[in-house]
Amino acid sequence: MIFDWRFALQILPELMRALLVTVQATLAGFAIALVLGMAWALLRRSKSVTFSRTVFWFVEFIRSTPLLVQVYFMFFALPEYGLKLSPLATGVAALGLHYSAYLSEVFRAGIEAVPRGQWEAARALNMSRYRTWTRVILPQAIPPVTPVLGNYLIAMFKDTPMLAAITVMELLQSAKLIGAQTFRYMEPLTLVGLLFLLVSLMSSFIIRRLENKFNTV
Amino acid sequence: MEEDDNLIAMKGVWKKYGKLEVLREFNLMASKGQKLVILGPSGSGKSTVLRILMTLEGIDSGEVKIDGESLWTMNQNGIEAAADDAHLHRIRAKVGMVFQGFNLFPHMNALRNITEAMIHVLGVPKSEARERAMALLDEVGLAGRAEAYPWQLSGGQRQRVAIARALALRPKIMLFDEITSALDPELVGEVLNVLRKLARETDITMLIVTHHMSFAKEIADRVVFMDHGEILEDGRPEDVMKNPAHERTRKFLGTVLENV
Repeated sequence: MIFDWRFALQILPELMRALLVTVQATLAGFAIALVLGMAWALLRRSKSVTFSRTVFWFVEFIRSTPLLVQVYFMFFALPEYGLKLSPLATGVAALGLHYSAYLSEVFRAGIEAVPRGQWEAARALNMSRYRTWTRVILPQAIPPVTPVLGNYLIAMFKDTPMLAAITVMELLQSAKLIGAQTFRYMEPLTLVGLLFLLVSLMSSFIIRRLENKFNTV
Repeated sequence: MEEDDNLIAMKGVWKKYGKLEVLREFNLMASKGQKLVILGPSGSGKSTVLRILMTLEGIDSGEVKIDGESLWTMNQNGIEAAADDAHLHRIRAKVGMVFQGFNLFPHMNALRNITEAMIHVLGVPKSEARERAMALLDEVGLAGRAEAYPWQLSGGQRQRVAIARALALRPKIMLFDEITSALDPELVGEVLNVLRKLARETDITMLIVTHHMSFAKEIADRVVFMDHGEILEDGRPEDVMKNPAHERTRKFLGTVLENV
């Protein structure tokens, strides 16, 4: 079988639409992961030991079970309890939840790297807990870990094909469908690979720029 | 002297880190406007005294009063209860602290370091906060460096910004915890000059932990010497330094004076 360039060109628009869905799912999932990840990191610092332990084990559980299992669980098991979402919404939620476990570790590391003196200065200045977090601690904790966050963004992007398992029309699913209809898999799958490569490379480039920026300050 | 004349009253304070007793049945009174220098070898508990007054450390037992009010307990419908955030917030407003390691906020320039708490803790309007901060920077000799970030400043300059930052909240009590110990020798003078000026021109009660003996003698109207969590000497600087009552004080003064 020879690679048919004309066929490849012909299916490109459809794959580009799927790429858009993939990127949207990634960005939405990552937004959820950022919010939840920060929430886990903060809740784990709770003064209540029972509470922080619970959060710890919950995060550990999410991190130590496969994403695909979580995706299936949310798609097939949760509707039995009345929680029914569209495939895309389910996929985004699963990605977000799964990656929030990783991001909470990243945030934790960033927060712990802020020197104790900063907390003490904030207290000596009588700043409220909220102000201390938003004006003093987080502005110092997050910039150094931005490159790591970026790497997780790319990792999540590369995990979106898992959503094909629950019929989300992302890149892989779209390529599979084209293959099933035309009996040609070489072109769509090659294009899927190339598109992933392209977006990942662009993202890495941006992240490296960020890294350099934070190293110089 | 009536107890309520004391701006600071620590009575029978015990503080332990694990098994280590840092303060043992510790008593210290300080009246309004007093310039008190605390001397003592490292590990004697002198920094702990300041950290307790700034609520950076709790105590195991005893009583700490600031301006006549108990720091760690409050009166709740006639019953003594543990201090809540609002109570601590109110009392903490009377105290300011300057640290050995400056602890400036590295992501804010000098001006914002000073205005941040003024605006968001005291509720001073932005323009007024800015004006007051500029005046304070001028006071500490840094009028031209308002826009500079901490990493663009020398250690001495950073410490002077930190002093201005603490003063901005207009505390009644200022705590200085070895504020020149992290500085290169040639930068110590500029920071001590700011303290001299403060001592001369304000009625702020100052508690100063330092190793600079001549400075202590010059600035203090009272010196206490601490060792192993207790006060061994307490009196006028010339008395404590020239005629200490304890052998341990003599030993300490001997080693420190040799090193100056």
